Amino acid sequence: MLRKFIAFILFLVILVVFFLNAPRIVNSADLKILAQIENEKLNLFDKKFQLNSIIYWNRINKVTKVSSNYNFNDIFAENSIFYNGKDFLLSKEQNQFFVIDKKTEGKKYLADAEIALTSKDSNLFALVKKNGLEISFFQFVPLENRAIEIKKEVFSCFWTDYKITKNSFYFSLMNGNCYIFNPFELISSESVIKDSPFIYSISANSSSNNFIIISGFEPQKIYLLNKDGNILYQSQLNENYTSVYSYLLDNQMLIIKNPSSLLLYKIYWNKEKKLELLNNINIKGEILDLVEFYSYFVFICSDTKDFQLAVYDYKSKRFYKKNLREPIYQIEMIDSNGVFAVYNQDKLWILSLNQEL
Amino acid sequence: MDSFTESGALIMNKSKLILICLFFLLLIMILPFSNKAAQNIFLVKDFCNWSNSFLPAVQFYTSDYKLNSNFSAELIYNKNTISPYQQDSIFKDLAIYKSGNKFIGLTDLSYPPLKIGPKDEIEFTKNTIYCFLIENGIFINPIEFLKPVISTSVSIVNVYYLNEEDVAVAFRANYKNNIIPILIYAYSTYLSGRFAFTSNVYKIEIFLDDEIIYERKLDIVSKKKIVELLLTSSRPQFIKYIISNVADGEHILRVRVYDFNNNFKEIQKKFTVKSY
Repeated sequence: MLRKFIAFILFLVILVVFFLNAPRIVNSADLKILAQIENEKLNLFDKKFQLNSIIYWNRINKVTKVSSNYNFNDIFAENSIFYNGKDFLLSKEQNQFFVIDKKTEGKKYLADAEIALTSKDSNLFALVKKNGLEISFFQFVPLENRAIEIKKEVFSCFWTDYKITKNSFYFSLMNGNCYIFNPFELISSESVIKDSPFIYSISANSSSNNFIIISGFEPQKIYLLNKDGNILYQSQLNENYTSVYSYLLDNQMLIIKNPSSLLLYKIYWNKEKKLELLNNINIKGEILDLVEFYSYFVFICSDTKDFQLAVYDYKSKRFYKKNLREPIYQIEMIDSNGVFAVYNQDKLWILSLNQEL
Repeated sequence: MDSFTESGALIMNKSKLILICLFFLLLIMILPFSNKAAQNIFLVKDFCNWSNSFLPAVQFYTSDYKLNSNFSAELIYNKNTISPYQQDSIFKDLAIYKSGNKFIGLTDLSYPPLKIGPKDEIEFTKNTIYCFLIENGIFINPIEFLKPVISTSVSIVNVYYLNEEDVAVAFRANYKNNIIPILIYAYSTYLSGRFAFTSNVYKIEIFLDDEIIYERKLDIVSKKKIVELLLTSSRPQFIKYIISNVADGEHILRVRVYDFNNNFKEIQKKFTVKSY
C-alpha cells in the first residue's frame, strides 16, 4: 500500500515537472512600461526615465517626431503613406514617391511607383511599379541628403518574401529563383535553386553574404546557401505550411515562424554546417516586427485577433511575453541597452527590458 | 588571222561576261532598296502595358464575389494582410494553388480553402480580383485558365488609334522621315452573366500595304518578353510600335487585334512618307 502511494506521488511529481518544463511562453512582469503616448498626450510612468534620442513614430499617414524633451512634431503630407528607413523616410503621395532626410526634413521627388520596400536598419530601399515586376533600387546617402538610383531590374516572377540588409537586397521568387543584389560589391544575380519549385521565404543578415530559404512543399525544407546560390546545407521541416517565414539574426540565430509555432535554431557556418534546434514554442500568428538587442530579441506576433509582445532572453534561453491588450504593429529601438517603443497609429509605449529578467 | 579573230571573239565574249556579271551584281545591290517596303521594316520596340491590369496578372470582376471553379487544386501558399503597416505588397490576401504543374494565384482571399474541387465555389472579399498563372517558372495567359470557368458568351476586342492631342506620339497622315511610330490602345473583354474579365488582346497583327509585317501572341510571357514589354513610355495603357525603313510614298497600315475566341477588330490608316 505504501509502495503504491509513493509510486503515485512520484508519478505526480514527474507530471508536474514535465508540464513546468514544457515549451511555453510566460508572462513577464519585468518588461516595464516607462511611458505611454496617446495622440501626443504623454503619460510618464517612470519619472526617472529620460528620452535621449528621437523616435520617428510612423503613423502611416504621418510621422510624429518625438524628441528628447517630449516635443511632438509632425511630418505630414496630404493623402500620403509613410515608410521608415534608417536615416530617411519615404512618403507616397498618389503614385509619387518622395524621400525625406530625417535630419534636415528636406523632401525630394524620387519616382512614380506603387509600393516601397524599406528596412529600418538600412539606407537601401526599392520602389516597385504597379506591374509588380519592375523594380528600382536606391541608396540613401545621408551626407548628401539624397537618394541615388543604383539600378533597375525586371524580375522574372513575383516575389514571396524579401529582406533588405545594410548592404544587400534578397528576394525569393515564386518560380523557385532567388534574386540577390549587393550594390557595394556590384554583385547582382538571379539564381535558380535546384529542386526548388517554390520558395516561401528568404532571410539574411548584414554580417555575411550567406542566406537562408524555406522552399518546397511535401517536403518543405530549410536551405543554407552561399552568395552564388549554392546549397551548403539542407534540413527537412517536420510539417508543411502554406505560410512560413524565416528571420536570420546577426548573431546567427534563425527563427522559423509558421502559423502555430516558432522554432529557434542556432546556425553553425563552419566546415560542418548544421542547424541546432534551441527552442520550439507554441505561439500563433505572424511576426509583424522584430528588433535585436545584444542579449535579447523582441518581436510582435499576431494572428489578427491577439497581439503579443514577446522577448527571447539568450541567457536564460526562455521566451517571455506581455499582452498590452491593444493592437501593436511596430517596434522601434530607442537604446541598445534594452529600451524600445512599440506602437500603432494612435498609441505608443516605451518599454524597458529589465536586466534581471 | 583565225587565231586573232578567235582571240578577239574571246575577248569580246569575256567583256560581255564581265558586263553581265557587273549588271547582276548591281541588281543584287539595288534589290534591298526596291519599292517592297515590307521587306525592310524593323520593329524596334513593342511596348505593352494594360490599363486595367498588371502584366502579367489580369483583373477579373465577379458581381457576387464568387467564382465557380472547374479545376482541382491544392493551396500551397497564402499571405494575409494583418497590419495596416504592411504596405509592401502588390497583392492583398494572396493565395496560390497548385493544379498539376501550374501555380494559380488569386488575390483577395481572406480565407482560402485548402483544396478546390471541380464544382466548388470560391468566395472573395472583393468583386475585383487579380489572377495569374505560372507554369514551369513562366507566366501563362490566365484567360486560358479562366475561359472554361466563365463560359464566355460574349467577348469583345477593341483597338483605337489615339489623337495627336492626347499623346506626343500618335499616328499622322504625313511623315517626314521613314520611321513610323504608332500608338494604339487595345484590350479584350470577356463577359458572361456575373463575370467580366479584362485582359490583354490575345493576338496582334500589323499589315503594311496588305503584307503582314508583325504578329504577336500573348500566350506565354517569358522573362525576355517581360523585359521587352515593360520597357515602355510613361503611358501605361498603350501599345507602341516603331516601324522603320518605310519607303517613300503612300501606304496603308492596318492593325488587327484578336481575342481568345478569335473575334477581331481592325483599324486602317493611310499615310504618306517623304524623306528629305
